[in-house]
Amino acid sequence: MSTSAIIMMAIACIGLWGGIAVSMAIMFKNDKKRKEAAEK
Amino acid sequence: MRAQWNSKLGFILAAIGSAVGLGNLWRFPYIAATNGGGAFIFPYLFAILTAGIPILILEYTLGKTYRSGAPGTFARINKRFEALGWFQVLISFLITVYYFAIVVWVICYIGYSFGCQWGDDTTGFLYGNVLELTGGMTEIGGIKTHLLAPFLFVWVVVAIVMYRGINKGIDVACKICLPILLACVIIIVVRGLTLPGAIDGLAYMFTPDWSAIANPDVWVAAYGQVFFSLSIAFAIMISYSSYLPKDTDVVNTAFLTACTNHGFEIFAGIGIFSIIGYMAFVQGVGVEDVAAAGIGLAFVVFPTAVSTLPALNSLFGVLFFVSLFTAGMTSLISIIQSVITGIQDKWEMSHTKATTVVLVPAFIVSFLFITGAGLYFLDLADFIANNIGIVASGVIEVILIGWFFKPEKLRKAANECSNFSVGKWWTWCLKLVTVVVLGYTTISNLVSYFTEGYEGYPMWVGYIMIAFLIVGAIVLTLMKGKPGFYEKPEDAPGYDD
Repeated sequence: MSTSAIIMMAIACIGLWGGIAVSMAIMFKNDKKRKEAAEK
Repeated sequence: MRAQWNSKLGFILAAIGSAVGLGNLWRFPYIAATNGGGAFIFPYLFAILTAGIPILILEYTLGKTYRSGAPGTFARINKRFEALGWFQVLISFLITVYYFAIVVWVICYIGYSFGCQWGDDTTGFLYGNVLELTGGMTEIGGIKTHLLAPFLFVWVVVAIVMYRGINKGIDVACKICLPILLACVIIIVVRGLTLPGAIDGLAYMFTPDWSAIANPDVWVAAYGQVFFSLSIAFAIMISYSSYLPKDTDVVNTAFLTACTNHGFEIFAGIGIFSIIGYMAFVQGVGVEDVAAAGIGLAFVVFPTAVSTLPALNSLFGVLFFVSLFTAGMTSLISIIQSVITGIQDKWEMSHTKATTVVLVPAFIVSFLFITGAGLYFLDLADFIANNIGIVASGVIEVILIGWFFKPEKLRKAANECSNFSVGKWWTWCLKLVTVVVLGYTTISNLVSYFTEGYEGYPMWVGYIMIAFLIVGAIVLTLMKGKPGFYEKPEDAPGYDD
């Protein structure tokens, strides 16, 4: 497998799975803020 | 009182379940490999950012804001837009009736995986033993009785899920199916990557052909893949999001759904093409000689690959077809729900009555697709629904909202409850990028179909399907609904605001 193929696979995986991670982090952070606001 | 999802997780899993379907497993890897390989990733990611995510945000915002399925949402924006909603619902109905058949075949192949019963001639097995395919569309060949048991099984399962509704049916089904799907695909990927020849399969999929970037057809293929993969423009996402609480962050949810859907298809592609690469290695041929997409990949190529595995062949056959089953089921129930929501909202029917009104005719019509000519009808219906129906629906949707309504009102509605605001790029993506790409695709597909037909099928059958979509949409629009159907929620932006 060529270096360019490995790089393209990495770009696809990091771009999309990274996007999942960022979205989930935002979602959990927001849920935590809401819970804290509700407790107050 | 309108039903609501039990939790945000329930909605997200349902939306992901809807988007992650058979196409993620059997379409994407081949499309990528034959459109520039690794170079395809750039137009693909660009299409996700400029079309997939913007249209998802649009549809989630529409459903959540106007609190109705597609026909009701468009009617509440402007009564003259209602027909588009019914057009989308009827596309979903058309897809429903043939999708059942594919799930039936998948169930059969779960059983055939035990002992790799397809033998050496997987093509002959599929067309001769399973489908008992006739010579042409006009030779119906009767209902295949060996398919009746799995057919009825799928219908019973689907009916139970649909009658139980959003929370007790769809939510629960997705929470069961998606973890099973993920587990099966993880095992397939791990096994695939450890096989000799796997690298060749991955190289076929990811080796970039940079000249493809300059080819407009590759960009059309990328946008087409994103579009078909995300379940947009045929009423599903509007329907699902109409059951969301008002304060849901639709922007982040759209990003999450898109990234999960496309991330999954990359992941599954790695697993599937690793195994295809192994098969090519064993057979001493190039991967390009054995690679395929769609029904050919699922029911011909992959069973052959499973037969060549060094051990646990039956297990991997079962895992593959169970993944197809779970992916197919979560998509199927979302497609059906979009039809039920449309009917229920216009005539204020009970959920049970609306479900019966949809499932009974769908059940009757779906018998056509387990006859000897079923594959021909399925192939044509799939072509009409996807290559004409959905693309036309998509371009009309973005033109009506982008150019006749004021998308800035919807952008404001989306941003009100979002953790990060979507900028004006969203509006321009809808108004320009998606209109240009979808418009070109729609016109090109229509011209191609009306001048050349499709696969030699009788044109009149295709015309009937297209007429069903258009005439059906007009008739359903002209039928009088309950007054509440046309009343937008107080806080929803009006057409003349």
